[in-house]
Amino acid sequence: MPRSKQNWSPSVQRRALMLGGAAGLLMPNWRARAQTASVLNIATSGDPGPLDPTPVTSDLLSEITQLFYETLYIFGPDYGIAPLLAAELPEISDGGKRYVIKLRSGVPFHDGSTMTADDVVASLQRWGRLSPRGRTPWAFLDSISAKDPATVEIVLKQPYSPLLNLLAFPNGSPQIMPKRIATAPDPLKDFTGTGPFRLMEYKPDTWVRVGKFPQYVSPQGTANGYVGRREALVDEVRFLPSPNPTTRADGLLAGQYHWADNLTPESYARIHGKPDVAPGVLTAALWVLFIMNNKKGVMSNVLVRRAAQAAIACTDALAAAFGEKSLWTPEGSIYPQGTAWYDADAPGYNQGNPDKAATLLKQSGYKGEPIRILTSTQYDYQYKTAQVIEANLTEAGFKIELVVTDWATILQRRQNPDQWDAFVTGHGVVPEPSSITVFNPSYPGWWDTPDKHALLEAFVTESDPVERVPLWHKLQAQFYIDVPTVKIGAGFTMYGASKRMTGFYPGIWPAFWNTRLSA
Amino acid sequence: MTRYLLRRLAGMVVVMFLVATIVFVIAHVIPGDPAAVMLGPSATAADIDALRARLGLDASMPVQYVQFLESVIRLRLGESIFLSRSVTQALAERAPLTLQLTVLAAALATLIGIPIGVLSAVKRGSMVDQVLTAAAMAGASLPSFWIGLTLIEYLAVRLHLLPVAGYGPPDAGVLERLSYLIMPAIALGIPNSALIMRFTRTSMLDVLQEDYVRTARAKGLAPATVIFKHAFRNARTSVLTVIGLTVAGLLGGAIVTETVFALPGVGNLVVSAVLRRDYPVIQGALLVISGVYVLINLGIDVLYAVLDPRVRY
Repeated sequence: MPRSKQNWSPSVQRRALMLGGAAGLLMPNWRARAQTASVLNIATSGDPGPLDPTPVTSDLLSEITQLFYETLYIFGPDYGIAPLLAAELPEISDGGKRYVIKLRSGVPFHDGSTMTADDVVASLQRWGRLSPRGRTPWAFLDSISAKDPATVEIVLKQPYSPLLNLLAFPNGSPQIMPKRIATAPDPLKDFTGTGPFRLMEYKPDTWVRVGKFPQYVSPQGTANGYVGRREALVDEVRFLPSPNPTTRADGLLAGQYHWADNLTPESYARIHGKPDVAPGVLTAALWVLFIMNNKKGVMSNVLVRRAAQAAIACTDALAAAFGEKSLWTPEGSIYPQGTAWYDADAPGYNQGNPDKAATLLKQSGYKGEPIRILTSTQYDYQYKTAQVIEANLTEAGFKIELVVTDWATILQRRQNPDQWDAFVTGHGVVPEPSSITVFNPSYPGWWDTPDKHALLEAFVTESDPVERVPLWHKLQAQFYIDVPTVKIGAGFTMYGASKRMTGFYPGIWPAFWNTRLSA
Repeated sequence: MTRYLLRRLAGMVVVMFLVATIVFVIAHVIPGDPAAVMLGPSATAADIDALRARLGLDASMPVQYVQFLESVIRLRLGESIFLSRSVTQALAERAPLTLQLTVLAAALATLIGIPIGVLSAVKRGSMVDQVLTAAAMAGASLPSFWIGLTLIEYLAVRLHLLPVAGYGPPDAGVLERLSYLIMPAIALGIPNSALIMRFTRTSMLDVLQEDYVRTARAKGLAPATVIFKHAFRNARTSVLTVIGLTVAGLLGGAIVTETVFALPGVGNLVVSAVLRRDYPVIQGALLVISGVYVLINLGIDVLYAVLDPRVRY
């Protein structure tokens, strides 16, 4: 006779109890821990790699290291410069060649020592040696010295106006560290900084943990983006690599993460309308660029590049790449509205005109040579943009060969001008225009016409910020004459945040000081 | 047996040398450059060359190959380019997680696969058999990442029963960490249980037609005794082969599963290393995984002799 549920034997009952007990022990534990107000869990799109932000320009790394490292200056919400470890903006004299930097006093490092001008000089020397952003100004360096414990003097051989902006970047960054560390052999092993948090533990592909630095001395002033007062309001911020965007969104929905970085349109849609989480976009949109080979091959002919620009329907590409309209903006100006560098005059932007493109192509003498466009599915928006561009160009009479590889392969192939004609990439907003990669003549694409060269030279040696603006507008005009690259538009980087989180700053590099987590 | 083992171990050395060579060539033939990946998208050729020189990547391929073989002979796998630690240390940190995941998934696959396979064989041709066979086909066809995402949606997001991803906070205990492995083990185990089920069914069907099984039945033995004591005992050697292959295959499956569940195991390490072109890690991890694969095969061959007295080496 079959046993009814009420008649389970004692051994079965014991086993059921044990299983239930085990489940009880396992299940609620993870959720209870995620609800504490002292640890902020940030899901990132990957592991940041070595935690030294000087030699690399990765945005993810900056998002993390800016919690424990600080620079002399920092960017304001309008890309203006404000002091951070410096006491004030520098005195610039001698026609833009001499910078005298006064430091804040009594700033402690995480190791208990106090920051002095010697530490700053050693840190900046390291930056000039290792950073892709530091090497250029350091080529013009005449001397750098500590005038007294709270004053640093930099003397250049010739004026180089981007210097102040470059000193404010949190990537490729001149973070200030004790002299004993800055002068130690590379790679960096001690991550002592001055930030509101200090590094607790880095376990690759598992987490980066930073903990509150109780002795932190904050800059003064109301908090406004990266500027002003900074305070650690949680005991710990934990960055957790989670490469799959769906998993990041799900972790946020389940309450395991408080913040999910870099969502795709599909994962972003999942968190819309949910009671405990809020979708959002970073304040600075990512530029989507179609970079052409100006040095070799068919695309080195400016008429072919203009034909490509005429053919591309930027709005179609952006809609395909980012989805709903609030997530992208078709803007020909290189810099967005609201910044000093904005210039609405962008002739030739977003034409989507195959007939005009075909005419230009005929004038160029193009004979149907295949155009190799490099793209990667690793970045979904880049691949979708490339697909629309392929259709646009094919319609205009181009013969397109879409080369789909992983991102590491593109990074290598694009260094060789014989191996490609164009590639699609994203470019994070850089507050200093001369730091835009395509304006660097050594960057793949190799845009270096005499007119552009002269304009860039004038722009980087002009020390008056007001005079620099019209010079930048001339550079943007030259960008639309030479067409080294087609700016497709700007797409916003999507994130999701728990509604328990307040006070974070969703800037170019999301910042989690001043961030509170309610219980 | 001892001579056989020694012969097999000597063969392993040759196999591992070939594997090391193939792994080195594959890692270096694929395009991509760790220096370019590390520096980020803004890097110029000059920046990349400077970092390559600092990392020692500018040496010629033959020189790097000889250095690699020398370090392998000394049982050293080199230093990771990205992880600020040796490859051995990186593997040692991650191996326990992958091992736990593999054991859990293999146990799950076996516990599901064998009983259902036996039942299906015993009920051959019946509705039960057809339903189980169809379910097995479906299970084998479902990709583990899809199973994983579906489990996350229902068990973690909707019901909050299990955590979505990761391996628990720094101070998590054994039981809590186990809760992070349940969904990945199911996602990894289900497609493999279907394989074991199908194989068990086929082996059992062969054995159930043997004369001695008919004799056992004729003697009036209980059906359970006939099935498990007489039939399954003879079918288990072939089932063991497929379990061994499954365990080896699970190591490959862990690559996808660990990525979906953000588990910092060996699979995740391999994916990250390939994307970053961290050559020493790619080479070291593939070498160790191949070694484990070869050892599992050797272990199965030895187990044959233990389980089946007729097998002698």
